[in-house]
Amino acid sequence: MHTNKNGIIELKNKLAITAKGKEDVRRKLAIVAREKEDTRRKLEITAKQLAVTAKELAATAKEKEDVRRKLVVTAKALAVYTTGLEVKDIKRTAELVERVKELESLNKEMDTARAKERAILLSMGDGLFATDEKGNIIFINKKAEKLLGIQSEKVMGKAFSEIVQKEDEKGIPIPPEKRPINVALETGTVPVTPTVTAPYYYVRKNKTRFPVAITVTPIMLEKKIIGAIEVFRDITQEKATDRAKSEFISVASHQLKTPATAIKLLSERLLGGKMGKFTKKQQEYFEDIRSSNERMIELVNALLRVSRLELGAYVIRVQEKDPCAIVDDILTESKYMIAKKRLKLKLVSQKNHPMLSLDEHMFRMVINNLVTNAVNYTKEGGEIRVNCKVAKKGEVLGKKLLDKDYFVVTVADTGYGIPLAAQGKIFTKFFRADNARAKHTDGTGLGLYIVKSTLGYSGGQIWFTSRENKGSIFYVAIPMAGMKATTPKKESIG
Amino acid sequence: MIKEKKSRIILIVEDEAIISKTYAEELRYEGFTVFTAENGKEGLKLALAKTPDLILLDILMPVMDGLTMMDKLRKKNAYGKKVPVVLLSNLSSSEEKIMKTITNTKNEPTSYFVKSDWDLDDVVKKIKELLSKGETKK
Repeated sequence: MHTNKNGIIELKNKLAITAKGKEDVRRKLAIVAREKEDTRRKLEITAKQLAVTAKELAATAKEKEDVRRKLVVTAKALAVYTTGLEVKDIKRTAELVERVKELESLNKEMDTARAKERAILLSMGDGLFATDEKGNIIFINKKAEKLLGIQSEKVMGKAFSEIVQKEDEKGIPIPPEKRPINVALETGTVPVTPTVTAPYYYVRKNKTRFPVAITVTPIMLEKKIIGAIEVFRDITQEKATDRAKSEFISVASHQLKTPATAIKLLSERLLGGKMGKFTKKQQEYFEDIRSSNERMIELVNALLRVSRLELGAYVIRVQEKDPCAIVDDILTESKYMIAKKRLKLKLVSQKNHPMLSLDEHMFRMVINNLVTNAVNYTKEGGEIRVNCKVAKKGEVLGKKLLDKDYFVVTVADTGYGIPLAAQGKIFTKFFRADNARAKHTDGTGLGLYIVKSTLGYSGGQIWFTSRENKGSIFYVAIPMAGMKATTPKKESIG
Repeated sequence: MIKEKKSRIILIVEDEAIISKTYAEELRYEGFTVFTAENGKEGLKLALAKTPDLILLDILMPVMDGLTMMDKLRKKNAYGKKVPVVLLSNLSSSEEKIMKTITNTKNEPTSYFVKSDWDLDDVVKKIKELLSKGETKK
């Protein structure tokens, strides 16, 4: 064996070894395979992990993208917004500028308007000044400065009464509380200021003075008096004209009455029989001359009364008088006239005669007028009733409700009456009803006008009731408080 | 027949000749001694020279008006202050100046008549009345 055996053995060994080596290699291969498998697995895991990571990465990228996109959107929006903002701002600014411009121009306009207004007031042809509620000057125009001889800046804020003296016709100063501007501030009303007939005067610093026509009005704001405004005008010219007018009337009366008076005196001398006897016809003609002349005098007197009334020159002077006695006296004087027409006369007078302050001259004129009318416009044989009495407030007389106590004279007749159509005009100047014209041709149409006007001035009243062809009743009412006296407004020439 | 005591003197101051003449003739007929003047200036002179018992005085006259004349007369002397003056005018008695004159002269015998409203007879009657008043005072 050895060699063989050995060789076999050896082969066997060698074979064994080779098998073993093969086993080893197999084993090694298996290990390698296993390692490979591990690696593969590991790789697989890694791949998986990578995939996850990739996914994650992808998600992140997406998110990022989203954020980016959002950012872009935001950015765009911001951009848009910003742009929008800019546009709005610009627009707004432009608008504001426009408004400011408008306001500026308005302001300018207002300034111009204000300046205009100021200029208007400043340059007004009449004197003008305004005061605050305390009577201190807040505005004075150029004409006022000029008329009064003062300077605006020196008088601002001062009381007007301290600066310029105001006085009446006679030179008596008007006390501050009676000055129209203070009356306006005190009462909030437009005070009645004297007119051309007896105006107030302003006295300049140099002691010269001028008559003024004044209009004062309170300045009201939300029902509160915040001041007063006075407009005044130099009426020297008007005064002169007015004076000329009254002088004319005075002179005209004298002129018109002088020849009438001469005729009156001459015809009276003739008719008195002192110049010898007349034939019947001569006597008749001279009577006619006298009565025509009397009519002329009457008419001139009536016209003068009217002009005096209209000039505000009618003066009412009151004295305590017994009106019943005056009425009685007038009727006694009218007896001849009444008897001539064979009229019946009845006087009813209350027993205890009241005393009344009245202008006797005027009262006589009124009653005389009514009695004469009653005689003239009543048929022969008719009746005239005169009644004097005190009537109480609330009493109804001739359809009129008395608003206070009056002394009432009633003159009633059974005459022609006043046609309904004429009743509204009976107190109108120069009006005469047709039936009156027909029955009595020589009336002036002035009597009742004068009566009503003068009574009106004195606070009295006149009214009537009448029926055509039945007669009329005239009522004259004088307040028991008396007639209102007027202060003479007019200076007349002597 | 015994002559009546010396006739009373009346001065008429009136610028209207016809009116002056008519008053004068009527008053002479009534037994008065009458002087006439055409204006206040002349009237004042005559009044002081003749010292009439009564003066009929117009108001509106040239040269010197009646009110001025009366004023001067009243201030002149005792006679001037006392002599009765009848203002005879056609100015209305409500004229301010006349009213003032009359009320201012309360102690002086001044009357006022509107010429055109007074008959000649009435004026004569008034004159006699005023003169007899003066008589009883004496």
